[in-house]
Amino acid sequence: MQPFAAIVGTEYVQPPSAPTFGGAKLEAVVRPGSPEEVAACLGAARSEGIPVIATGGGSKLHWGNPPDVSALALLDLGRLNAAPELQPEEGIATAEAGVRVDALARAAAERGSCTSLADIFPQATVGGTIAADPPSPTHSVERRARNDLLGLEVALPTGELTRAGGKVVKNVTGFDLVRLYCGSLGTLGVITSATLRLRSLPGARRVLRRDFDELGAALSAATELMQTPLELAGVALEPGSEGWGLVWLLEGGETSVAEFAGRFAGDPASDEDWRAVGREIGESERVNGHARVRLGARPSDTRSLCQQLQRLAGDRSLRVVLPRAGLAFADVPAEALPELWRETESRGWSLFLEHLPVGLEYDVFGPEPAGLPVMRALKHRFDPDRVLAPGRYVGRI
Amino acid sequence: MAEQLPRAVELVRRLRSIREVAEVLDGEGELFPYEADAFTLLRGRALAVVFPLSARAVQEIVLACNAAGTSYVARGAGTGLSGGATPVDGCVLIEFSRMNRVLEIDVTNRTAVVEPGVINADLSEMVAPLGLHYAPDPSSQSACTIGGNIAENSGGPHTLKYGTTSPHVLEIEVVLPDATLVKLGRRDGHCAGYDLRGLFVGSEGTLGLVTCATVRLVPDPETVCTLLASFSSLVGACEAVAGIIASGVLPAALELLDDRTIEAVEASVYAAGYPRDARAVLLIELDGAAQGVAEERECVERVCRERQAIDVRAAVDEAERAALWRGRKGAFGAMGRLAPDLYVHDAVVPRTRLPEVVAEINEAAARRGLRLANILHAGDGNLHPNISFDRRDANQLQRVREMGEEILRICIEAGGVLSGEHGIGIEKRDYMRMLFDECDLEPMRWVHDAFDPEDRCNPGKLIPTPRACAESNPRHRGYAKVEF
Repeated sequence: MQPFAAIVGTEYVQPPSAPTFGGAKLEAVVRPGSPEEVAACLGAARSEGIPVIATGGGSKLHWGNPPDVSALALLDLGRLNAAPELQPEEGIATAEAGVRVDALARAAAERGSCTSLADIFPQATVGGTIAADPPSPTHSVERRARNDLLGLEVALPTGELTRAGGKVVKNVTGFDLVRLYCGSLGTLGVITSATLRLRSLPGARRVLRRDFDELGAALSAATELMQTPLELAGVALEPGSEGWGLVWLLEGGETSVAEFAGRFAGDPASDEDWRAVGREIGESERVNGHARVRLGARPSDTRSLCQQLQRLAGDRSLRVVLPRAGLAFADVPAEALPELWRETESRGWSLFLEHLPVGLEYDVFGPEPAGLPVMRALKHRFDPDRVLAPGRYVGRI
Repeated sequence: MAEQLPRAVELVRRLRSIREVAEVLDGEGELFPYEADAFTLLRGRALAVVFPLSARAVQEIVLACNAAGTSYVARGAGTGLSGGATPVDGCVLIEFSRMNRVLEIDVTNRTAVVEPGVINADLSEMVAPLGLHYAPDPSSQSACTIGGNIAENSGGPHTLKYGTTSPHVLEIEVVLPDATLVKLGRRDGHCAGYDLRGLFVGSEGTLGLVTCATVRLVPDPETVCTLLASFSSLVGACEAVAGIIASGVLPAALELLDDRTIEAVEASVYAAGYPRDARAVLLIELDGAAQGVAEERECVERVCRERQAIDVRAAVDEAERAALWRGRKGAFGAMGRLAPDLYVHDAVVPRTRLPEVVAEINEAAARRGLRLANILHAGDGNLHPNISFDRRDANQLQRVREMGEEILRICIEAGGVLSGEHGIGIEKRDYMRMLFDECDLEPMRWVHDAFDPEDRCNPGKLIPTPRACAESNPRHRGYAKVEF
């Protein structure tokens, strides 16, 4: 670990809290203190042949396949946490990778603003959230946090820092590398800072709910709700003790929110009801012998997606459903995974295994996506020596 | 050249033999209209222009080009303003206008599956009876194609609220440079792995050829209110833009036209009733639920009056609303009356810098004796300074070129970028280093190499050649400066 210590100082090369990660020996946790040090660490990793996995708060570090190397180091970006630069008048915020998402949200709220980053994963950082691109309760086909990502600074295995995008709200200058790095789980480069779109905090916010005896009725109501030609901030279905709850979030001007609430009635609910949906997505507990599954389809297929999960994994397997996004989260017993995999392939759905019981050999990203050869070619260009999270990504890239 | 000639003849013969190709043009006069897109300062001469009818035909064209070692360039309607569809000398120009079918409309999921040659406005017109529309609305939307919009990640006035093309494209079917057909992204938006769809959109036809796309359709808003606010100073109008954004209202569109643009529009067939005595007008569109829009309108009117608006009025009916927009979207055409040529520029700055940046650009144009009029997507900080000129005047042309470079310098010094919606193409390729250093450009080259290692797909666009190359010579990648 001497090459890293020479860059960050010996006090910032620390022993890991666990001896292994995904079967690979964990040599050390390296904690660079600046973007330049991150880049230098990647350069050293490449020249010394020491693979690294970047981490922020560690809330999604378990996402991905096991690394296919025998030893590696963790690159902890937590020290890159300078106060974010907020410019509500420009509609942008710039934050270092290690800034916590909840801290950024608080700082933005003090300026009457908010970002689209999902604030549902405990300890999650800006860099980690962009690298993992997780779903959130407000997720929908048209509403994705990645659409509000404007610029990135990224450290590369060449040992250099590179910029993509910019600090403006509209930009088509060159390839849209921001989109490429977002969701790449640190396999092409390590994000050191990000510029995000800032929006004004909505003037009003209201959570409403309706309860149903069974999922089918709740889904029908959700369909009706989504056909209302007004702007809906989020909609989710969650199991209750005796049935299913349809919970939805309205945001906007007071008048607009009241107008929507008047068109599709629901019982008043609390912010806590909405946060509970986020917790189910962001703080899922491992269930022994089960995989935590995220299954995706077109919104119109949500019903059939839920039916299949209930058939394969039981009525209580479903944890939360986001009908506007066509996403269902479920705990599926290991023995049901082979059939779920086949169903996913034959129906053209998407599958992501957030937790996987030990010993199972699935690609956690599901059936092979179209374009995998191009993805491999990209990985080869960006990280020819496979220094960045080797084996962890789609197709074990 | 003597050796290449038979190969070129053989290539054209092979293109003509492809079953699902509607036409192949290779006559001198036939090729002339295809020498440039709407950026006419640089031109190229294709070997042939080919009109495929299917993805299979596109694959066969690419195979034929690869076998002959010939480059190829995609073209939609040719409305691009940065030379993205300008042919490389001797290339095959693949013209997508005949692949123009809308294959599927899915009302439940609010998507449409379209071929690349579908005209932007035609799609919105087709789905209008369903209460839906396609949101990206470039000024050229009555002519430009969805495929071209995808290549350029096109914007438009309603980008402020609805975004540019990228978030509206869910899945694209593309022919890669090795002639394989692949789908990038997914119709449900849940694609595993790198976001190749997001990377491909805006890649200016350099990574492959789009043959089909699934795009989002957006429900028509229940209520639309279009306001026209006039100001006695450009600074006042810009301050009103900042005030509206700060108020928390997000208009669907927030456009600024300066006095020279107003003058040009009002003297043309696009006359919209813009006040000729104003130094600037804001065209502000609010949409959503009826009562919410009424509330936002009050807020916007208050902000404008606080910033010394001379007048604020709302379109009273759909006809007046359409007229206000006809003036805005016809502004570029209106400027065509002022001089034989028009150079439409495109750059973005942080929106609070707009007043000083526009003032500096106006001063620089005045110093050069150039007629420059501004149209701004002001809410996005996106400027379109438009220079009317006569290319037959060599001295004037030189001043136009210098002015273009100065506009970019002014914008970048203000923290801006080279393009908000027109792309880089060949127009700004060699200015990329004003914004990016080699470390920033190198990953773009890696991306290009991963898709197109042979560099045959629209070569010479978007990415400047590495420093060692003689980039100052416009012929080094096959383009010729126009002879005047």
